[in-house]
Amino acid sequence: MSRRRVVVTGIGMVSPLGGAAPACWDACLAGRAAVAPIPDAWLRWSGCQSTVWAPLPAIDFAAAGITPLEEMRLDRSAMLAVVAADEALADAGLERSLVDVKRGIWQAAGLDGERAGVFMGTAVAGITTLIAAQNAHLLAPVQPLERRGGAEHADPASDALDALLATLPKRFNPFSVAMIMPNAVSATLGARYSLRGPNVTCAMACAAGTAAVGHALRSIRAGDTDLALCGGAEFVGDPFGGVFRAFDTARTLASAVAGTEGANRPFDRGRTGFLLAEGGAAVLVCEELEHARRRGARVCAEIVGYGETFDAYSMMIMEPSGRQLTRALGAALADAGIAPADVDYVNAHGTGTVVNDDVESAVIEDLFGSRPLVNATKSLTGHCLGASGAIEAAVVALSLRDQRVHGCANLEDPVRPLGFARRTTDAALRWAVSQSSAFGGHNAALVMRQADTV
Amino acid sequence: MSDPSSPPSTDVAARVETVIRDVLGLESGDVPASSRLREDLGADSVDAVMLVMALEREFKGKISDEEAARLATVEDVVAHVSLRIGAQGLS
Repeated sequence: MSRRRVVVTGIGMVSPLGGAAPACWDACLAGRAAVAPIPDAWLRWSGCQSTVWAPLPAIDFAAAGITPLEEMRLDRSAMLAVVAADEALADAGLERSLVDVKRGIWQAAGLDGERAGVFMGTAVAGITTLIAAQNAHLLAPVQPLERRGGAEHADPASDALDALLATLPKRFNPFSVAMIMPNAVSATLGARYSLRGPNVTCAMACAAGTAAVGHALRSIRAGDTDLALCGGAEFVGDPFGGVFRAFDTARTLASAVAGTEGANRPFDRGRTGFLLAEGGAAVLVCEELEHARRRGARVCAEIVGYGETFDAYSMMIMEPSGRQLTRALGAALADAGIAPADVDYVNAHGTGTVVNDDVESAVIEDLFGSRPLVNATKSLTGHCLGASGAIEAAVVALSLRDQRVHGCANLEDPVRPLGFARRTTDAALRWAVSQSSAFGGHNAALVMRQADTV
Repeated sequence: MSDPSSPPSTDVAARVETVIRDVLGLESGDVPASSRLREDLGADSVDAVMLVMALEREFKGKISDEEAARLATVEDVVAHVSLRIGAQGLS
């Protein structure tokens, strides 16, 4: 019996580049990178090494059917996931209707929900809800001070307290637990779209999105599911920059010494760290090939291989030999049944940290040589943490569809002579790889193929 | 609880009904003032929490947990909001 094949039939995406997949992809092809100074107000709480990040644009949550009541009980990471999932389902041609108004539950026409799963990645899940809840908890005794608000005070401490008090909710959010829990993103999508098969959260930090797509591939191949929503979602835009500080203190973030626009420069010798994104989400509708054919779905790309390994070396730094990343790539290629020389395009993890880009570029050079095109989507989006691998899987699928590879922003003096795409490049793309590595030590790699033309 | 000193304004009653409909997903049909939130309208414990949050949002004020526990019917809610609503909302 031949192996079940898995294709991508729908894509939804929200990132600092835009509120929908076409806007994000257009920005990639146009080389429009997202980067901005961090809010001045954050400096009240901490002098930061890095002063730049990639904020999200305004997102139209109502357009994705998220009501004001739902906003009160959903973490922003789950809301971003819903926007991306809604777009992905529409892109896949899965018409859906509201079947339970009170609970906000939808049902896609013609889809057997018991044969459909959800696989979503996240690094820090409901962290901004946790921060808000803890602020409300700790400051409850001084909340009456809120009446002082408005006037500027002579001392910065009073200004900081006023700013904090101004954000406190009237009520400690009774939905906090369901908003903070790491499985909230996956569970939200499963409940919202009546998907009753496996509902899995991949908490694998910055490799989470890649891993989630890989585990969806395995589930569909194994026959556990016929269709899956898979991807990743993240939101770290707390009002006081506390999450930013956590990364900044670890000296992982890009410095703006070369100017805001030039701060984010993966694979360039002048790189200084990664550009933290406020958040993002990407959801792919992945589906068994015959299931897709039966309903006449348009196929964007095929997912043909997945591999994952673990460094067992350090919680915060890549193992210098890159052996386990190489092994993850080898496993993904073997799963796809191809050789490294077959690969036309590598979408790298490409964070812009000194160590990642050194190790990763050496791995790419050793395994693939300089033949395949290489780019780093994070040079445009910033680093969306647990969503980044999903965003990059979506970018690879769109690259295979359009036979175009976006450029690496700010790459002027490459760390190694790889086949870097410096600008948007038209190319015949048959096989492509997307790889991720993560805090903790996770490595994950996907192999995707151009969709059959027949 | 359901005996305000002055009759609730129709505006407040209509706004309360809209909030209750939104929270409980009631699309059509009458919602008599005497309807019990749990027994007649099917509100569960999560709905009860959501209703208080939604009322606080609509009327820009705070309802204490003790007050919320006494809101059993639609007219209880209308009466409470009518009594407590002031120039600065519920407070």
